[in-house]
Amino acid sequence: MKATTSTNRAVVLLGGALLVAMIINLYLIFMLAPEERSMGQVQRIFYFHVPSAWVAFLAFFVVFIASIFYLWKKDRTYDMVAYSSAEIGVIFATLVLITGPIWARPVWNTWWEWTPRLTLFLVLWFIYLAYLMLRSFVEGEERAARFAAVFGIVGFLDVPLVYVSIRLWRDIHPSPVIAGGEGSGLHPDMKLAFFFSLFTFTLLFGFLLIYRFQLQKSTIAVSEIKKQLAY
Amino acid sequence: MKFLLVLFISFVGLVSHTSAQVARLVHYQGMLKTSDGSHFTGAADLYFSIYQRPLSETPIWSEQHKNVEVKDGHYEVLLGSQNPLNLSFYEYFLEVRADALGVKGPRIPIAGSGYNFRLKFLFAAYTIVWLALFLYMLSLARRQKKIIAELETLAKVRTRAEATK
Repeated sequence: MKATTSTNRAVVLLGGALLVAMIINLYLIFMLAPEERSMGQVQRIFYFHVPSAWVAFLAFFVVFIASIFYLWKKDRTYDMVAYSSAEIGVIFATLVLITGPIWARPVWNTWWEWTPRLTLFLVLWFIYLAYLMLRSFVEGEERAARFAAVFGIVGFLDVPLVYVSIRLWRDIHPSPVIAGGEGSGLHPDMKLAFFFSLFTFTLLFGFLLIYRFQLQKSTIAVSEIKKQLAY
Repeated sequence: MKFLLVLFISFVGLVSHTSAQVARLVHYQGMLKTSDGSHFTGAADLYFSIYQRPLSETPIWSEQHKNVEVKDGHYEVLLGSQNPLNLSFYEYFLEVRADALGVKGPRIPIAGSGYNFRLKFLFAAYTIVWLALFLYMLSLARRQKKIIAELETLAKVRTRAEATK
């Protein structure tokens, strides 16, 4: 009971902090950050597109770590964390796949190009979509959890590939603006808006993960009670 | 749930409000040369026209800037300051004329600040993102409500089963 109360308090606190952060974030993106010279206003999608990708990667990293721990410790909690994180990761990866083409159309004059980074990211999305489908289709909770854990570990291999793809193969996708080497970089106000956006999205991920994890815990509790009642 | 709805509407409203505030102006810098190729210095009346095609005869927008200060050929103007620019900006071509000097520039494709007109893409991206996050949170809240209801029913069933024992 104590644990539930403290988790609820954490959700409320995180939710409050998130709301404040979101308002500040909107101010930084739309008021403070200057207009980009060559792309104009549409470049502001950057402050949403890149943090969404960051959260997707972070979520899949959590799936990777939690899956390793599940296979090692056989503790159901790790599986619940992995499942919850995978679902959130897929949501944010979907947002990346939607905002990317919306940004690309006015800037590159095309919605989509089959370049290494874009294709590898699409593959990543399919991998974790398959992960979620696997959880629904495999019979037996423990069996599904075991299969999903292996899938979650192997699937994560695509994440570093997506990240380095832009450095390995030059394509239409812009080079990294942070730590991207010579010629890269952001205006100080753009940098502030960008890093604050990353912070806000990370908070959002934390909030959603705790919320989704609690929901998963309750779902399992319901199925356990149902099993008990059936016997 | 109402709180989430208010939050979503506020975010979309804020973004659309900010987008609507952006002036429909294009900052344009150019180089003016006389017919003999030398850089012009002085005041010039310049005519700006935008065409949909490089060879179109009728401009879809035009504007005159009188007494523009030109120094060593360099000048700058704000297009849209005389005649509002209400174009969707995809592939347009700008032509500049200085009739008094008898010069006309080639039609050049508009890039750079012209992208400001693509705010609908920015607005679409933000709306989709907030809508998706809102719907996801809504689905989580609904699932939670359903589970709580299920837990309550199960608790009643359990109490009844224990009472019959």
